[in-house]
Amino acid sequence: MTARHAKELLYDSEAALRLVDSAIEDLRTLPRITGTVADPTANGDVRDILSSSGSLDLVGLSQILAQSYGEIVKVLGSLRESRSVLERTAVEKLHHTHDKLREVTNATQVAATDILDGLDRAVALVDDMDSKANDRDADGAADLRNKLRDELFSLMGCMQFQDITTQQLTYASSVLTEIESRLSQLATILDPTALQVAAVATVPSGSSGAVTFDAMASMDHAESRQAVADQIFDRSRA
Amino acid sequence: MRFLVVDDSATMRRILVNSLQRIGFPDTVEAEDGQQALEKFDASISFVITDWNMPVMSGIELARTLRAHGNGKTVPILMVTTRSVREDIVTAVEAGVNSYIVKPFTPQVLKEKIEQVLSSAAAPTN
Repeated sequence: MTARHAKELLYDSEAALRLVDSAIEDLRTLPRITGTVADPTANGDVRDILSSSGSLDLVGLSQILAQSYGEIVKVLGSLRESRSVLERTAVEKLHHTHDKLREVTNATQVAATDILDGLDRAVALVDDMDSKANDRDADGAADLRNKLRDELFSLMGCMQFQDITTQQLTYASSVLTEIESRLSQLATILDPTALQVAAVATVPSGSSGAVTFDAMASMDHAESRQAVADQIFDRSRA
Repeated sequence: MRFLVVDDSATMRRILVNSLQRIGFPDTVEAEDGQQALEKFDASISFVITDWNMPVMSGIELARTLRAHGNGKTVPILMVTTRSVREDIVTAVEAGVNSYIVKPFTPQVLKEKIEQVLSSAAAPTN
C-alpha cells in the first residue's frame, strides 16, 4: 500500500505544483499590471491602469492569488504526507535490508567455519589413512575412505550459502535502487530542472535476463521452514 | 532414470547434480530456467527438480506448463527453493508440485524426498 500511496502523493503534488506554476504564469503574462503594482506611484492610479488594461482587475488578481494560495496549501499537505509515507517505507525496508546484510555476514562466516572444520576432519582422516597404510585391515581402510568421501561431500553442501547470499545481496541492491528512484522523483517534483540521476543498473554483468530473487531468502531455521513445507504437503496428500 | 535439474544458479545446479550422483542417480540434464527446461524436456526425463525464482520462466510457471501438457502431466516435480512462506508452499501444491525442499538442504533430505515421490508415483497425482 505504502509504495503506491507514496507514488500517488508525489503525482498529486506534481499536478498541484503545475497548477500553481500555471497561475503564476498567468500573472507574468500581464506586464502592465506587474509593472504597475510594483511601482504604483510612478504610473498613477492603480485601479485606473488595471481597468484600462481590459484583461484583469484587482478582483481577478486576488482570485488568482487566493487560488494559488489554496493550491500551495494542498501541495504542502501532500508533501508532508509524502514525506511521512516515504519515511515509513524507507525505514522499514532499510531495516529489513540491514537484517539481510547482517545475515550475509553471518552466513559467509558460518560457511567458512564449516568448510575449515570439514577440511580439518578430512586432513585428519588422510593422516589416519597414512598411519594405517601398512595394515592389512581392508575393511578399516574402506571405512576411512568412506568417511573421507562423506566429509568432502558435505563441504559441497556448505556452498549453498553462495546462492542464498546472492539473493540477499540482490534484494539489498533492489531496495537501494528503489530508494534512489524515489528520491530522484521527489527531487524532480521539487525542481523539474534538477539533473536526473541515471538509475543504477540492476542486472549484474553476465546475466542475460531480469534479476530474480527471494526477498526472504535465508540460511537460518532451514529445518523448521522445511517442517512447515512438509506439513502442508502431507495435508495435501491426505 | 534421468533427472532434469533446473536452477539459474550454476552453484546450485552443481550441488544438486553431485548430490544426485552421490545418492545413485547419475543421469542428469541441466537447464538454467523454466523456458530452457521446457526445451530440454522430453519422454526420457523421469524426474524434474526445479528452483522457483528464475529469470525468463519461474519454476512455478514451469510446473503449471508441464502439468498442462503430455508427458509433463505425470512427471514427478520436486521444488527446491528458498521460498518458505506458507502461501508460496500452497501455491506449489496447487501447481502440481509433488514435493518441496527448502534451501539450504542436506543430501539426506534430497534422498528422502526423491524416494518419497518415487514410492507414491504409482498412485495418481491430483
